[in-house]
Amino acid sequence: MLLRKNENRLTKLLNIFEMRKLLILVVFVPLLIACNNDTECCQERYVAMGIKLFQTKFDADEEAYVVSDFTPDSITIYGVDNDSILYYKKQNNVFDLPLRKTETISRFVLYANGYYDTITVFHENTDNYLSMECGCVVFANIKAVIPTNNRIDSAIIRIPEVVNVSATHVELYYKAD
Amino acid sequence: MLVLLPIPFFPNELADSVAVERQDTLAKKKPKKNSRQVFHGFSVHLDAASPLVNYLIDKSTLSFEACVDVDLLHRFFPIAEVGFGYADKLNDDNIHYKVKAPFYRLGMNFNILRMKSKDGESKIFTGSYPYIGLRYGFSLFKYGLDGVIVNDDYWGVSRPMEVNLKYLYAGWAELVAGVRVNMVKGFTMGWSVRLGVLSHTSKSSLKTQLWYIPGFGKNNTVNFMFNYTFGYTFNYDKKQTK
Repeated sequence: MLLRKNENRLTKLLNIFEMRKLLILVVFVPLLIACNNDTECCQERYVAMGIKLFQTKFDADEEAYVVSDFTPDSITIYGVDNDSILYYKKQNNVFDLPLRKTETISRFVLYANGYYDTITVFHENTDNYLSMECGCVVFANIKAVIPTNNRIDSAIIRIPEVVNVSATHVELYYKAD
Repeated sequence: MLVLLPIPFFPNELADSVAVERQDTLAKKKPKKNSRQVFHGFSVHLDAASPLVNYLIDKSTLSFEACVDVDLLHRFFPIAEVGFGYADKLNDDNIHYKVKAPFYRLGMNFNILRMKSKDGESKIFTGSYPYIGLRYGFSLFKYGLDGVIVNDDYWGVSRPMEVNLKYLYAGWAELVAGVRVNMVKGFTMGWSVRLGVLSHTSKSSLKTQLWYIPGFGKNNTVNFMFNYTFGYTFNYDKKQTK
């Protein structure tokens, strides 16, 4: 019974469309215009090399070198030949350094606990066009990281592909105090 | 091998089988009283909405299209659509996107009008009907892009980025709903709304890179489209041709 009732309703509904009544729909149909938001960029565009500081200490009890996180009392970071300071007197051990997008060598000065060091990053750049709203981003592939050795002992490339800012691409190992 | 065998080898059996076949074919050729006419005609339509809507939404795009559909049993309407899409856009960042290419769609409309009355008698098809349909759209194109600048904010330099012209393709699916109305003496018009879903491109990154795809519209994974068509229906109904 219920099925037949529904069928009758459907029939009535479909009959509405019949014949010349459709003309009314044709003439008065509202224009459905979809609005696409093509002015805002919803993609991440900031790409930088993530670094993390470590320190190697000799543990007398263990009689072995132990690696631990190194957070300087004060660290200032800026690019060589650049007046703009990236980090000023920070007390942190994780930083994002923007590599050069137009050249393949980027150099940064790290002034930590009164000592200057410079790291030189050799990298290849790849242009990536995203969209008209977002423009483009430049991804990098790190080939080598060479530090000066005032306080930095060594540098290790963990993730060579720099495509975002949420990763530790390079680890810097400081000498023990 | 059997085909190559000469006929005189089995004269009686062959004659019998030929007679049976003839009877079968004659029986098939006899017109059935209740046989239904499958092909009822075809329609040629031009779309008036595409150029207008494109112009109203964004003057930098333009699209024209036409379609041909075939009436089968007054229920199924296989349809082929062909058109041409054009975009020449310069945005606020001076990025210039340009594309012009034809596009094609194939699919079918289904008449959702009840064709029989309550007592089971067939209704007369007036040429007016609401429908739902499916389409597969495809476009092969190359796009031009210039004015893309790589800005290095921290290092204070910039350079232009080169984006080469490439031959690409994009395919999409559409769900269509609309009405077709027989106006007078075979002249028909109608409208339809479409929900398009971009299904594939020659490179996955193109789904965001392409600002406009001919036939699909401004790039988005999902698009709404509107068509307002008018044209002529060539009717091949037996009743009318007699």
